Amino acid sequence: MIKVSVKRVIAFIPYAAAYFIVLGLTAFAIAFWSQNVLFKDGSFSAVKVACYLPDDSSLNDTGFSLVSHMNSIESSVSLIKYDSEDEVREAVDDEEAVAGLIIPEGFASGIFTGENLQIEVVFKSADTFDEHVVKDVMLVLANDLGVGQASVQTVYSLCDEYDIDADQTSEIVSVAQANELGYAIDRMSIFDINTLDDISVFTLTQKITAAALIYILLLSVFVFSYFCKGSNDAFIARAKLSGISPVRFFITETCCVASMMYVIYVLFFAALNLADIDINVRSLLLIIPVITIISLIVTGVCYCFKTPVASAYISFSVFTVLMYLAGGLLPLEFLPLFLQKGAVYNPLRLLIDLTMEVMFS
Amino acid sequence: MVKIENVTVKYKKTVLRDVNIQADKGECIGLLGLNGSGKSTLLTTIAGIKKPSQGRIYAEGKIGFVTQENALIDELNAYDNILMWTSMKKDEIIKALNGPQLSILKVTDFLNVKVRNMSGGMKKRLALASVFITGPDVLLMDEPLSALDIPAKNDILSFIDAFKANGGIIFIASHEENVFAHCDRVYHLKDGRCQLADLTRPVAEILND
Repeated sequence: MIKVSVKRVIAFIPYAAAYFIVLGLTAFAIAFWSQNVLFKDGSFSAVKVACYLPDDSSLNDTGFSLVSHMNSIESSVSLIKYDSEDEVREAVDDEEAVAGLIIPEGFASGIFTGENLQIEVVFKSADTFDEHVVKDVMLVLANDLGVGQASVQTVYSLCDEYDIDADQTSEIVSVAQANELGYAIDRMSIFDINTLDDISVFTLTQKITAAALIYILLLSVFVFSYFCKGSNDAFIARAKLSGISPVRFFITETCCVASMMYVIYVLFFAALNLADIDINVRSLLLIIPVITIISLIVTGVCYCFKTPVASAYISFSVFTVLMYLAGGLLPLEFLPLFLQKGAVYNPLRLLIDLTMEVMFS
Repeated sequence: MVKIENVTVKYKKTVLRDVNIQADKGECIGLLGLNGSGKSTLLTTIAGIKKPSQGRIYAEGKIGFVTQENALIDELNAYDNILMWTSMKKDEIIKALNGPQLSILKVTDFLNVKVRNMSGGMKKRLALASVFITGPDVLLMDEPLSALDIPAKNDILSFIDAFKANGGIIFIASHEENVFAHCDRVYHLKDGRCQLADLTRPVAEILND
């Protein structure tokens, strides 16, 4: 039976390869196209923050404009202005925004008097990754603001200590403030956003590549349902009468499917290398457990349904939904919050992470 | 010998009810009935693939089952399809196919042809040969002549005669009148009951009872 199984695999590989070439090229074309759309400059900011500014000082708008145009803020956080405190709270409550910032009246003038009014930061739950991003950015901005404020206050204190008159004090403070503003404008980036952006794009490329590989391997039910005979009564009867147990029959066919998938992976590996995508050479060995898991799923599905058409349609529906919920078709950040939380329990997400690790670590 | 004693098979409803048949060496038993009358169920129960709800089946020797749908793999040729179910070597297989009984099926004429390129008759001959080559004492055949041309039917009927002549036991489920001429007894299955059919009457008339 082993010798014949090898012959079956060799005879079936052209059909499997044709499927993978057609579906694989389509899947990757869509994946890389969507990646470019998603990460085009300014089109993707995962973290939305609602913001209320009182109209008691023109410095509020200047400050808002300065902060929202910082490279690191612009590429990672979308600051959206609201007209009232209530609207900000409502936006957070409705999950339109991850967090809300409420600037109190007198905040701008307080910077110079040392009154230190606090900005209110509103979260709905404050336990997601996005919310931590907002917290960290706020901490960095508060430090920045505090350093500026401290330097201006130091100037006032020193002028007072050395009995410098009001006109001269005002002149010195103006110089200090101009330096502060110049420093803030020159330092438009809190952190090196270009590197961050590159990492995000790179991670997304890895994820989409790994997810696309798993997706096309899972959907190979379309072709392998014609290969696997475990749902065919005639074959089951024949196997039983020949003394071959259903388990042995299943294992043999799973091994056949896995070996065909492996051949396809080798071709996939070669194609990615030709496309200049850096892929781990060790993955040729490390991918075997991943392929074993997927071939068990694919063969299992083929055995569960009586006809190839039924297994193909049902697996397409189920795997597409699971892949979507695992963030394999669209980044998880684009999904509603409750679906993002649910992704933790999605087995395909673990499989995608494992494949990413195997291919790119 | 095959002895079917008080066999009842139930799924959601009772498919076979209290069936009793005995077949001795060299006998051919025909099973006649409309679609869904339980012919295929009886054969799969004799093969041991399905267990009877009541009663018991005693079968002496090895059983071979030629199912209605062929257990053949499209992308392999005839030789590999035979090899799949046997541990025999190539020369042993060729020798067996050229033997007195299997040569009737003329499988050596298309040994290197892939199943997908075969006609219905070739597939049926191959399916029969691949079962027979494993040396069964009891042969179960489900609709062996369906959708075959006359030469293919004649070859398979000749094979049945040869198998009987060598002491084999055959159970055939069929609608074809000319099959029953080769049977020693024919049973009519209706509403789960199995009774001896009077073959002096036309098959169509028996089925309408």
